[in-house]
Amino acid sequence: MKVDALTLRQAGDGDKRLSSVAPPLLILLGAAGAMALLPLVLGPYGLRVATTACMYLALAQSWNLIGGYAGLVSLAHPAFIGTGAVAAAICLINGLPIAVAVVVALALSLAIALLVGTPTLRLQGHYFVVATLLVSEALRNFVLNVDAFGFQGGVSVNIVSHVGISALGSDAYNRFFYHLMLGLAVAAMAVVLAFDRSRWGLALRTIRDNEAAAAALGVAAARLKLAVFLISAGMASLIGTASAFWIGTIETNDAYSLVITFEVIVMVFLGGRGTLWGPAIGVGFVLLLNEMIGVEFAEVTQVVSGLIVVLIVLFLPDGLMAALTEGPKALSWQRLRENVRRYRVS
Amino acid sequence: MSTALQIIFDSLLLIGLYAIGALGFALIWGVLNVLNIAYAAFIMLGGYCSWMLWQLGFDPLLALPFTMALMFGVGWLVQRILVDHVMRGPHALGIALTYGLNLLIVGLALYVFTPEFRSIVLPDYLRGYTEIGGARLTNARAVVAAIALALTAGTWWFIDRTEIGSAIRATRLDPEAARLVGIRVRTIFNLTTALSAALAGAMGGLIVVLYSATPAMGDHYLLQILIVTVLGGLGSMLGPLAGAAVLGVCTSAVATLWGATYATAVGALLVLLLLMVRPAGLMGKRFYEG
Repeated sequence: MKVDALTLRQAGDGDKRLSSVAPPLLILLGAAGAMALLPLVLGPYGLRVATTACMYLALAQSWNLIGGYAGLVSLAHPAFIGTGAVAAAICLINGLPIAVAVVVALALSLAIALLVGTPTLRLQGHYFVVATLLVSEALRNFVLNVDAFGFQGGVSVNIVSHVGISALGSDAYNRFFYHLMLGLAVAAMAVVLAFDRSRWGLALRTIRDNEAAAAALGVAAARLKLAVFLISAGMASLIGTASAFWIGTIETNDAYSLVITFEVIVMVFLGGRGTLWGPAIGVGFVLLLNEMIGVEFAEVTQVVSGLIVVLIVLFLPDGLMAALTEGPKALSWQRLRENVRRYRVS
Repeated sequence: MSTALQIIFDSLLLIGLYAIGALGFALIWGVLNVLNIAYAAFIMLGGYCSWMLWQLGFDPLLALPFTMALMFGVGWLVQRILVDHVMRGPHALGIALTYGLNLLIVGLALYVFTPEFRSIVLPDYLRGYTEIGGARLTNARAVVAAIALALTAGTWWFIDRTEIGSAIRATRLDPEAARLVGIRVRTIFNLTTALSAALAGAMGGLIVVLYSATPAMGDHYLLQILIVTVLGGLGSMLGPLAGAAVLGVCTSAVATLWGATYATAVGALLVLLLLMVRPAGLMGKRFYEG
């Protein structure tokens, strides 16, 4: 085992791959502990932004697993987020306890992921992207037409009263959901950390970079991809359920919205896909930017975020993470010019 | 009988529009292997371009060639300045880049054109109809179908029968080998995106005549185009037409029988089933996969 680690280290690039879990775990727990105290200093608006940030971070990490580590641009996330929200809401308004609602929504999402993943994960290149996009859109259109169990394209009542914590005051209520989202975000970070430093994560990156070579080395590509797809879907579903409980009103078009998934993908790209800290950087950057320009000039947001995506893809295809691992050198004019030319057709 | 005929006539409009759009989309996907999300913005720009030309006094159908020419230039520039720089990277980069570009262009269009609906008053010669077998075929539908057929035929002729077309086909098969025989691969890429954008412009130009233009109009059509492209398959000029025919008739039939809200769900289901059985699409050729 020692020899293995040594050879990996000597291979240069491999030095960080199977290194210890302890330092990032300590940083993660430290940051989580600090963030858990945030409600003491934040007002209601700040707390709301922080809750949103945690939700996006959890979503970003769940997408990072499939989109970053496995390199599969999955657009099926709306299907899982939406199913998590809608199925849980339907359970609640029909009088089922919360635990049952969460489990039912999770099981339904996993079933959909299994049903969708088995055939689509075999598809090559863009076909996977299109297939997952169509799954989301088909499901959205289908749910929009559902008229059963008190659900008619949405839930007309606010489900907060069914969650069972309506007795809480508004402060305690906000704090509860902040801590819930924070917990989900930390859990998502921990899952990605576990992947990042494990044999599976290594195998997954090998599949991403060269599937034929990975298969030749004995990596069970199909099974591993399906497992990651399921984990990612389960995480998305739980976040969907939690955000449904938080917001309280469920509309099919919002729950199954592609926009949120695209935002999340932009965050992952911006920070650095297939890295542990990249998505956190991306989420922070995008939300900070939204806060700065979003309030008064909501229309500008679209133009600016479009511009940022284009510039990042052209000049920093590895994301802002590069600046963190290599220092300011990664942002030098020469490096940016190299980046632009890296993938250019000659 | 007349109901079935009416369903087919009703779907002619959609078939024509989808076929034109999917033709351009399949071109850039097949040759460049880029999933061009900004295609939605191209359609929208084509729509507004036709609308502005109409405001200047052009006949809406006569404005179509001008719109296509302008969009040809836009496509060339977009490929030259932006997409060329991600061609050798992972798939995801191209998708992210064109998604960002789409956001940018649609956002700018919201400023310049405002979210208001813009539409063209249908000229008189498109208003009438002919009655065939108890079903009505409106002139607009017949004209759109004819334009779609003409554009498909024209593209087929260009790709299959001209020297530049064979250079495009060679590049699609193997860019490195194409370079070795003296083809300027980068120019071919630019030309292909330009052609694709011109076809998107034609689709937008027709949409604004029949319906109306809004900054977000392309997103809906892009979804249908994706369905049509995968249904038809890449690597065949008849693919988009076949895919459009299947989706168009399906949409029209589903809308008549159950209501329009199920149409997209049925189309998407159709694609997913097809992908399981025949991943290359109805008319597609396997070697274009990947």
